[in-house]
Amino acid sequence: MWLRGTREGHGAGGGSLASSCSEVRSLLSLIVDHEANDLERARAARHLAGCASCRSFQSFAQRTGAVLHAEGFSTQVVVSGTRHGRRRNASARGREQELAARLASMMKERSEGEAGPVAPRSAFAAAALVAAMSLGIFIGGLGVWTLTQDTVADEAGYPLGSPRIIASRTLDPGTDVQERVSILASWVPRRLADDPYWEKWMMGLTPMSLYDEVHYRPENL
Amino acid sequence: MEQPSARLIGRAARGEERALETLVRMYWGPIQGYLARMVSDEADAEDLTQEVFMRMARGLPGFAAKSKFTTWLFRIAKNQGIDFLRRHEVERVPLERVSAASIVVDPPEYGVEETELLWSCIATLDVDLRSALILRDVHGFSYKEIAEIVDATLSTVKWRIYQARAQVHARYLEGSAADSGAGRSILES
Repeated sequence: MWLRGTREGHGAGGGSLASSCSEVRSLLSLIVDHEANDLERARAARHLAGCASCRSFQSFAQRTGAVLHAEGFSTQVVVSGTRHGRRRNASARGREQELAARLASMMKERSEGEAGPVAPRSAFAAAALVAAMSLGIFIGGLGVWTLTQDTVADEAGYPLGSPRIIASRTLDPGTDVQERVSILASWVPRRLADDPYWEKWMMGLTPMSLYDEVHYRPENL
Repeated sequence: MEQPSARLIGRAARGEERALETLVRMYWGPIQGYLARMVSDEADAEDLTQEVFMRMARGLPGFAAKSKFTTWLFRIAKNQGIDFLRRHEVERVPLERVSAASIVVDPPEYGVEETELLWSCIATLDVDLRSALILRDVHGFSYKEIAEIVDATLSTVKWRIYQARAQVHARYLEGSAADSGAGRSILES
């Protein structure tokens, strides 16, 4: 878009110039800043040979660049065309020192604030978080404890109170055997637990040692 | 533009006053000059420069040196300048594309008056064009660095600098032609 422009020709042979002036000036702007490649430079050179207007633009860009750059090194600040002298004097040094002191104290305050005592609001928030987490752990633990407590007498003489899951399982028609399954299997709905397919699936979740133990218990054979 | 050493930046990031003072001394002029030209008011520019250094101090501990220090600092300054202009709703000069000027003149030599005319032409530019031109011509940043500072693509930066030069060129010629005294003599020289 920025390369588009009307084809203009100025100076001798202008009508036959291959590139438009605006197009070439955009290249000249790059050339002045040493940002153009060889192709662009060659294209601009061909146009410049026959265009005084673009040569003027190039010269203007180069000179203004030099003037502005020199301004950058100077200590004068020009605002809206008005020149205000600003010498690096004692007051400027004083201002820089004062600003540096302010910056240093601000950074010190910040670092102290980060490492300092916890603000009351933060302390309250932290206490509330700890209380909520403790309550969650307690409720969760209570649930797990309830699930793992055997309220049915252990017929096979397994120690009472040891963590286990008791679920109904039907291996043989007419028999109802209470046995240990994994905690995951214990959460399967009853209708699925009674299904032979899901029964196998549940067994798959049961640790093999426990599975074998159940199946090889004399009362299940 | 001169870059501070990594050691100096490190000391400043730890809040050492001497290091901060060195940074302020090194960059107060360029930042204040850039902002003054951006917001067209020296007093505002001074306040903004202080704010830039405040932000610099806050950001220094997190400065990862992914870009040059000056690029980072000027980006802060540019954001400050833009924020200021937005807050004060300074009307932007409408961007007008300048067609290639048909006036053929010899480029002038720059005296005090000509330099003032040049700056007044720059002051009328849209803030984006002005900012790009100042970063390039006054502070000598590369196009890539300018793109980083103003958060724009490289082609946008190229376009802005070209447009800025084209507009300044056209206005300078108009200003010189309108000026019956010095301007005419420059044009005739």
